[in-house]
Amino acid sequence: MANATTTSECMQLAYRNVNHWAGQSLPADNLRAHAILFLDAFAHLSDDDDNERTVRDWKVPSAFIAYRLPTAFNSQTYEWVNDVALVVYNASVAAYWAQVENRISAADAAAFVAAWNTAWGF
Amino acid sequence: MSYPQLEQSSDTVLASKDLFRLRTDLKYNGEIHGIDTSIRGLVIGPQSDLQNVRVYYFDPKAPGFVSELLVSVSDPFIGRLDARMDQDYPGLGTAGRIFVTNDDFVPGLGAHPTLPVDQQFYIDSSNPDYDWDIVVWHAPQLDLLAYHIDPPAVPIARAERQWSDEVIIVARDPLTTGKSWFFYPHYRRKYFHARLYNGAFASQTLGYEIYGVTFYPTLGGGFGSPYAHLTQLTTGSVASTANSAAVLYSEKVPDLATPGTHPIGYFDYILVGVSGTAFGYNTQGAVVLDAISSDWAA
Repeated sequence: MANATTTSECMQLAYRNVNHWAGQSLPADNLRAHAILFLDAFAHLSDDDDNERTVRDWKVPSAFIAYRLPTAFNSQTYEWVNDVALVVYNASVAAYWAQVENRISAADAAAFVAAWNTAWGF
Repeated sequence: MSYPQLEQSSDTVLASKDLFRLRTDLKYNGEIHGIDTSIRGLVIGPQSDLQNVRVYYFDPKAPGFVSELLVSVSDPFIGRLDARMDQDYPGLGTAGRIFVTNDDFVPGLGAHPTLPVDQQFYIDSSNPDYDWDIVVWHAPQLDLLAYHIDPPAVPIARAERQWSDEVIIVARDPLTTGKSWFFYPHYRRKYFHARLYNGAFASQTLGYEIYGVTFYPTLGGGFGSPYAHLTQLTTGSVASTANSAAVLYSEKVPDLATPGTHPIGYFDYILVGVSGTAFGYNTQGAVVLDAISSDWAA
């Protein structure tokens, strides 16, 4: 089991957990499926609030990488780990520092962690 | 410019400027900046320490309506990129700005009293005198020029950076040895030069050690600071003499003597450590560490 309990753990687990899902080969549960799930991690943050946008803007790189991942291949996708994990890592770092600098609320940070776990926890 | 950024490129368009300059110190990975107007070129600016930036933009023909490109010192982007503020990225609820983020790694610094350990960079944490070490971190700068007009001829080098730091050393007690660490952003520049002026005031021979540093995020799920691979470049000592200066390191010189010992133009940071028994600031012969980092190999 590797679930994050804080935004700090989100970034520290980013590479490990992305690597885990890259090892899944079923199309319904592969890296692409989880990368698209990750987009929900930002849903509660506002695009109109510059403080929250520093985290929410990571939806765009996340979408870029998610929709480029292979779909129905019954094969592992370790070759994509670096690209995906770096975006997940950076988004998590953004969330961590937004929390440290009080740009997002504790509730927003908790919602980010919950959505992160939905996508990347196991 | 502070972060989150206050100024937008629409401000410079309304002011009829030729370019929008995105210039800020970076505190950590994950900073992401928006450009809210179309642009005709992206060029790494002269003050940049970063070698590469990654750019995401609205592209209706791409999967997810997002494309990316890399801009580096030697590979500026010349062409048109449109910000689509009239549309959102489909399904994301995010306006169609152009987004810019650093592609080089910037570890976060600075402890937070209540949150768990983060991706801060620690040095020498096994040293019991660690708390007494002075760490001088020169933050990397992002400087990106977003042109509203066709860009003029652009240089393919960053400006030379120079630092002069007065060295002091703090130790647990006056008889023990302490260390002061100086971090200089390098990001694959091609030349680094450091020299130490050990004035008579310190009255002691000072040790030094120089490392090339590359950063990585924590991999493998380990909890702690990001990885910093340190490659020792040189080490030695500088005797104390009035107005003496010792060249500690020039990136080219040791390589001529021992070619192949390390790659030139590879490191994210250059780290210089100075060690000795404690001494403070003074006006009679300061201990000064000078450093130069340049894209031009001497």
